[in-house]
Amino acid sequence: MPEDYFDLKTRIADGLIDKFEKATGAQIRDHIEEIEIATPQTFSRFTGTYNGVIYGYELESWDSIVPRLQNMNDEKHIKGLEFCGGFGKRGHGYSSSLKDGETAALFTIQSLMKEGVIK
Amino acid sequence: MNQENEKDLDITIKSTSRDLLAFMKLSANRKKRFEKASSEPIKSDPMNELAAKLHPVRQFLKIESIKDETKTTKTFKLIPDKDLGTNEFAYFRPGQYLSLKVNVDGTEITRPYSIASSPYDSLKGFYELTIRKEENGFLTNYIWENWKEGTHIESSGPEGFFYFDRLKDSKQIVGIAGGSGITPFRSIAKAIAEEIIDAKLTLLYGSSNEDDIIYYDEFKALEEKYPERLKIVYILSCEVVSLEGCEQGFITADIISKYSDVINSSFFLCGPQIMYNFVENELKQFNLPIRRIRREAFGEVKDVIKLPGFPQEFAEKSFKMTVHIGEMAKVIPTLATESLIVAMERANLAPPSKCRSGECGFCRSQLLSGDVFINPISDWRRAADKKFGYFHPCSSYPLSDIEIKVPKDK
Repeated sequence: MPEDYFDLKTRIADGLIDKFEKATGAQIRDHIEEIEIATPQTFSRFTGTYNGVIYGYELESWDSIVPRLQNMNDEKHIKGLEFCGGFGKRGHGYSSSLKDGETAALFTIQSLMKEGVIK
Repeated sequence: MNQENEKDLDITIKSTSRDLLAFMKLSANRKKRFEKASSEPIKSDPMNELAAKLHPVRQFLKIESIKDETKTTKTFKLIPDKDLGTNEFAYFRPGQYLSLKVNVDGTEITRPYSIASSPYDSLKGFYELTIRKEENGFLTNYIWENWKEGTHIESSGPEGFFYFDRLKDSKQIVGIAGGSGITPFRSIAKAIAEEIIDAKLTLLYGSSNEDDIIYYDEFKALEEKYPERLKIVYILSCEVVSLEGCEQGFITADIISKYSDVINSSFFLCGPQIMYNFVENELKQFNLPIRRIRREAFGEVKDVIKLPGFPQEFAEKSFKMTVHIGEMAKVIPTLATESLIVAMERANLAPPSKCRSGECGFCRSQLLSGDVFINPISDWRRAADKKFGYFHPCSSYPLSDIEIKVPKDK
């Protein structure tokens, strides 16, 4: 329920701070100047991603990075359109997003070279 | 080797060929799954549904009733405007504000107003906003003349960071309010009474005259009902004070330490610029850590030439500004003493804005060329913003002809 949201996210952050302090021995609680707790609602609000996922949804094994990369050349449906990002060929995660962007850029350059637009 | 260890080493090694076969079939299996799958888009998205309830981009409100609080202050009770599609109001954290979007005689402007009612009231179906009429106030003059029962109003969802957070704040809150800066504390006081917030509030409320005190009877009743949790002290700057339990003068360090446990409290300040200047100076002598003092954003600065660092030789100057907004580019006039957001509103460009204090980031734009003066008190730019030329037009003033790129409002 919306009225439980702020308390719930505060409780989760409270627990995380406790765990951090226990694991590291570093007391941070008394040194917090500003605190913002981001949740899937926060990512939904600002990015509109499916279910508020931050880096793209988790892939299932049958649709993992391996068959996605194996099929990437057969799954181009519009000429010149390349997909990239956390929902792209390499799946979720920010390193995957970065690499996927690089791959898309390389494909675009390759096709422009084939067409003779760039040399 | 004992028996237990032998048992540990009893491992069967299987061939990896099965894994390899699975890899070879991956692609074909994926194609089969695709063929069998429904082409209907997934409709259920509970996280986005909840986010839309918590953070609606727009809310449509209707005035249900208006109460006169003082000679110059009214409280507007607002209910969801179901005809325009708002069926319920977003829940909020006490101390947050709504950014009202009002068309004043053809000019669309925004203004932030703290929600004065309790978060529970929003679940019951209403918000309350208490507004003081300002002398020559562009919006408040319009409100006094036009807002009646049944008037339709448009606002943002609840916004802002002026709220108690138990991970950071002391359970002893000292609220320092000046004039109409009392409004968020009404919401906070109610939330404390309703046990939404587990804290004690001591409120030091400065007014110029007894007649200007807002919510006097209401606060008195709350204080009597919850003496352990709420304490309100009125500080009046007028010469003659007749009300019981008032202090005469200003909110000085002496007054603050007389009524609060300074070292163990969190201070929340809301009021006009002049009060911030005075009270922050008084608080300096207690050497409180930054985390113990929270100041509400104060909206548009009215007298930019009094700000520290404003180059006085520019006070009378005017410039041209090229604005790129959406697909459009337009050249508009600006004044060195008027924020860039006002210049854009005047030109009917409808730029995005909420806090009008350089804080919320909704008007964040790119300075493509030219110089601006940025209000040093409302300069909430990040290091990356400074490096790449991003700034907040609501707290910036032109010092030359400039060109900016503004995001289009949703």
